[in-house]
Amino acid sequence: MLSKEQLNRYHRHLLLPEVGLDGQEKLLVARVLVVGLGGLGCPAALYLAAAGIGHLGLVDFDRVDESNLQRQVLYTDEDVGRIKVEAAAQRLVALNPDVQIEAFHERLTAENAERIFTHYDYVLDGTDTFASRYLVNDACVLFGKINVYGSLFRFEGQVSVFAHPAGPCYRCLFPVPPNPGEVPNCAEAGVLGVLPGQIGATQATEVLKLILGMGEPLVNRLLLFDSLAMEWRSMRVARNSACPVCGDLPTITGLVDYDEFCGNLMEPGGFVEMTAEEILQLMETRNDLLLLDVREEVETRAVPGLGKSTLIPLGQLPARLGELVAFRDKTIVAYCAAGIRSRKALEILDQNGFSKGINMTGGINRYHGNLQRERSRGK
Amino acid sequence: MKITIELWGQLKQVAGESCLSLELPEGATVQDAIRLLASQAVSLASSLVEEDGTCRPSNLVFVNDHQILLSDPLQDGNTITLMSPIAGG
Ligand SMILES: [Zn+2]
Repeated sequence: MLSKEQLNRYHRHLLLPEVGLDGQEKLLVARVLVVGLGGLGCPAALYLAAAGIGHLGLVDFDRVDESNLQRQVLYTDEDVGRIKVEAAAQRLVALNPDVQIEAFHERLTAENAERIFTHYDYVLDGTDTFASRYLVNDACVLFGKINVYGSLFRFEGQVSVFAHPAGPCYRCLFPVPPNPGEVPNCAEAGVLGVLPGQIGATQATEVLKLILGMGEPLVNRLLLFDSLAMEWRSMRVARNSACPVCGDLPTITGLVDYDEFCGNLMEPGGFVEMTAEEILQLMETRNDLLLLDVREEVETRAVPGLGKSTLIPLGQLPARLGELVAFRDKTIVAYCAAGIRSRKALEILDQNGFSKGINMTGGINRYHGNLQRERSRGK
Repeated sequence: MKITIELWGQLKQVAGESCLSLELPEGATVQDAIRLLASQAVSLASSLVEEDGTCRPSNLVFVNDHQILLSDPLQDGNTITLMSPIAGG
């Protein structure tokens, strides 16, 4: 039963016979998980919350960065440095108190995916790497969730509904990931700020249609959008009976190592990017990490590093590789002030047989900046 | 026969244009068209074909907006849509 306030709030839905009271009640008990609160997740979550989706899960490991504000419309200037899922939850509850938010401040992994997915029926994929696309897809197929997919490149976008009983999954269309480093992400290639609005809102539309059982969902179709031509194209796609995860004889029956599948830890320049906060989280469960600070010694006196680190300034690294030989099998976490020199260091290491590397995105300065903002906020 | 090629994703960015046309002999397959394109547009070659000449399996290929097999024969006037994968969010 809708309250008097709810009859008012959802009045424009109630006017639509396709939604009506029954439909609105379905929305109010629906369970939708938004993975990735970036360009796509922000507009999608806003519209889902406004529509009265009763249970909204939010997954993101990151914090709000100034460079997010050009398109990630959940956040304000004052949110820079805050944990994304916290800032997002606050904003969404302020928009619609009917919505119960469950915030997961962690990176979706093969280890935690089942726990995070378990209470949801629809998963809106707003992630931004190939590894996470395959992970979200496989988890949806294996755990019986519907994957409402969207992705972006510069001025273009794609939307589809995967892992629906009547259609293909992401792997049916993309059996093989591109080579690591081959396709640039938004941070490298850029993206028109309004584009994620169009794609994210289209994903949210599909979620509502699926919950309400109305219209033609994007099952067996891949929608392509070109914002420069201002054209939408609908391509026919089909399930691949030989698909390794949703095919007739699946070979993938559990979640795998998606960084390895996408070659992220193996190929030159294909190392993983992580924020300092994420690295600290990873260090709690992994003892095979070596922190390598490649700043100059004078910099380390002005700005402290991240815990117990080995200091080898980038310029000295080629000559001092011998000091790292004992750590050849470990994963090297390289960092510097802003994350640029550490990338170079990882390239040098990779050429010398150190295959597993993590680069600290934004460097140690971003980490200290976040800490400072948090303190000034009185947290 | 004349075939139109439409490019999406990074292929379009690398080529600097979204629409190209190819002249192919009768009976040519989708794979033949992609190989010919790779030989004519050098900047696209490594994104379209592997070193051994096989088509890169990470690209999506459609003919007249439908999924096809690379071994399928083409007809005069067909449009091939070639799309490199994208993952931005
Ligand atoms: Zn499949």
